[in-house]
Amino acid sequence: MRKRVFLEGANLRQLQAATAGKAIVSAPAPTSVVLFVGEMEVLIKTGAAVKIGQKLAHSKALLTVPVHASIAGTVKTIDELPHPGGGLVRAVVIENDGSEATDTAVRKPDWQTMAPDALREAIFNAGIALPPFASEPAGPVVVNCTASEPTVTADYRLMLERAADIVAGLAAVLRAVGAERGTIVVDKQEKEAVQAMQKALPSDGAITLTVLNNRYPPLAEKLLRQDVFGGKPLSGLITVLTASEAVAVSDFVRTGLPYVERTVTVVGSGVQQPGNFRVKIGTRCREVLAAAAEIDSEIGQIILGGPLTGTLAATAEIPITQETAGILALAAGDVRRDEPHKCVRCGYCVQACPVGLAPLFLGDLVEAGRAGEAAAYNIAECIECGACAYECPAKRPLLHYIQLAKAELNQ
Amino acid sequence: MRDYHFIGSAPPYLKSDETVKSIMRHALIAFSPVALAAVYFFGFKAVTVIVTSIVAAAATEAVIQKLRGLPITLNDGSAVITGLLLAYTLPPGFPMILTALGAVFAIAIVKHTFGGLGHNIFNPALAARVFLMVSWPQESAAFIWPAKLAWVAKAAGGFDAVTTATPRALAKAGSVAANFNLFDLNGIIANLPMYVDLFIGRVAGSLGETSALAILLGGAYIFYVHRTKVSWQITASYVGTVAIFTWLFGGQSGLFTGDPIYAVLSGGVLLGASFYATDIVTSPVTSKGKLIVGIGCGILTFAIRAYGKWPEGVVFAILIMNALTPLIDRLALPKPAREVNAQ
Repeated sequence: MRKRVFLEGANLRQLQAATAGKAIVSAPAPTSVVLFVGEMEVLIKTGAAVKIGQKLAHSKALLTVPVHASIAGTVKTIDELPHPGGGLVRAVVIENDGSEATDTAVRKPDWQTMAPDALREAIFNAGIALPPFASEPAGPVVVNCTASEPTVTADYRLMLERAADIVAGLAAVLRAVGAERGTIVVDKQEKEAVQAMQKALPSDGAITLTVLNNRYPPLAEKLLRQDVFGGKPLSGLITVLTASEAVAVSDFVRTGLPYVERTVTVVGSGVQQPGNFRVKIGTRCREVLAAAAEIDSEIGQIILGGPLTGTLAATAEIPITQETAGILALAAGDVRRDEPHKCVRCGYCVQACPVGLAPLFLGDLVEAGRAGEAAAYNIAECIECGACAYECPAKRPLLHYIQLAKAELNQ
Repeated sequence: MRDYHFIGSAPPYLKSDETVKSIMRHALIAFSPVALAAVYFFGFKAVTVIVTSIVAAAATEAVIQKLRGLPITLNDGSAVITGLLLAYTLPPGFPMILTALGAVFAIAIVKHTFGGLGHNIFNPALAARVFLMVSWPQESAAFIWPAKLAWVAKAAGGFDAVTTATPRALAKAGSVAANFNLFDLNGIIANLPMYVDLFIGRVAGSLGETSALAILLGGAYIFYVHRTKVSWQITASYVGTVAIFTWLFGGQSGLFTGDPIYAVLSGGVLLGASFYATDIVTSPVTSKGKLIVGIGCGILTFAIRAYGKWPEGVVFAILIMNALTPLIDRLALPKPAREVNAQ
């Protein structure tokens, strides 16, 4: 079993405590949304009127899920805009007309009677990333309800408030992919959530609960088989969903609505009222922060995700996507400006690494310009969780070094 | 609409509060009960050694860093710690000029010529102790008994004869702790006054090694503060190995007749295992490596005590294991978790 890491930093615990008790509330409707379509075929034109749930773009080759309008209004522009991952990506911008009208094509599916393949395709078309067809027989389905970052409590709140929906979503996916068993992975430390999920489990035993002593880092898909299935060889393709996706499936089979909103944890010294918000996909960071009462003084960083593996928002106009589980806003004074000390060989990074690497040596190699030798130190196994750099007392930029070395090795 | 001026940096965007300075600060706090015990038992003779050592160490570091045009990093506390740890290896009343010389050697030669903090291979305080021991053997062995103890007088045939012998020297001569029976509770209880004297520190020895109580208090503080990160593996395996080997082979009446309690409470094992072998710079970075170093130190300490010329082997044992640590770090790396492929 992979070693468990316990990041005990006070700053992480405080941020988690700030939102763990906050029930999910709806953020105010956004004035506009930015929905990325990339190279997909766009089905509407600038100026068109769109309704909630209306399909805006799809990929002819079925490489990615289609994009749906998350608000009702007018298409203001279709242009290349900054994407959370960096760079510019073609996006559809919709201006909200306040009508909250739903597209007539949105219809509750007969999920229990329709053919499983049809259900799978319907879920895919609803914007939830299940592969639209199977190349292998289906293995177990896993819903990962563990927090992706120590500061994200959205999954925890979903378990407390919508346990039945998570189970319902998993049940629908089981049917859609033709799998016999599914499991929901929960963190042992989140006792109330574990209890809530336990109560929501159906009695037939097709769905089980896997309780992991998780902490950080989150369940890396790479190590899924080891952590959840004890390293036993499995047959079939494992399907993995996040708690948010399971809830989206449940909403879809209940109402026919595609994946157009999700729960996001907004926290940090940059907001006065941190909490968990139900946000429309495509809402810009600026408006999400406003929902949490953004501070008046200078904000130094807006981080999408969490402090360990998140990405910096280049501008406040960057929108949240289906993958955004949290936003961490840091006041200018709280942004770290470290002057790294020389390595003191304390070994905290080795203790912190969940995959059993020695980050201090990887850092040494990069500093010495010998990143090419990092392969011998198993750098490929690194899951870039940031635990090493978090714990380093010398504040060496270990994660950054590892990313640099990997980039160099991949060339 | 407000303007944003974001600050760019690499992830992670939040980091732990622990810094090199805070690690040194915790270490200094942990080492201070020993200083208090030294002053209590040896009075002014302890103060002169401790103060001279610290001042000389700090001054040397400041001068070297100034000469090299480097920022002066005295406030990270590491020079002060080296000075203090050097003082702990010296007898009370050790000449101030020699103390200062030792501190200069520790900081200038053992630490800075090897690259400064984080890069030294050998523990500066211990290497300086060896330098002083070899160059000024008489002064280095001029120990004092803070109290006239009955069991010491009995072991050495009168108190005057033992003025400079330490508990280790007595053991080496076979005058005390020669026969031990783990199952003879009465025998152990009979020795209790001796064990208590050793535990509290009413005995002769270097400034740091006499009071086991003070050392344990310091160790408890480190445990409380660092909990998940403290290198307990080194201390536990070092002390345990010394105890077991002494019990097995250290007695004069065959196997299992050595006195492990005396072995651990006398001399520098507890001090060395708690404060010197655990020094982050010179100890391995992996758990496995730490166990290896602890066991290695234990075996070497026992061997030097039992079969070598010196009554105490802690300093040499730790320095030898320091030399092996880079190799141990390469060899004892953990096995990385790899993805188990499905069939």
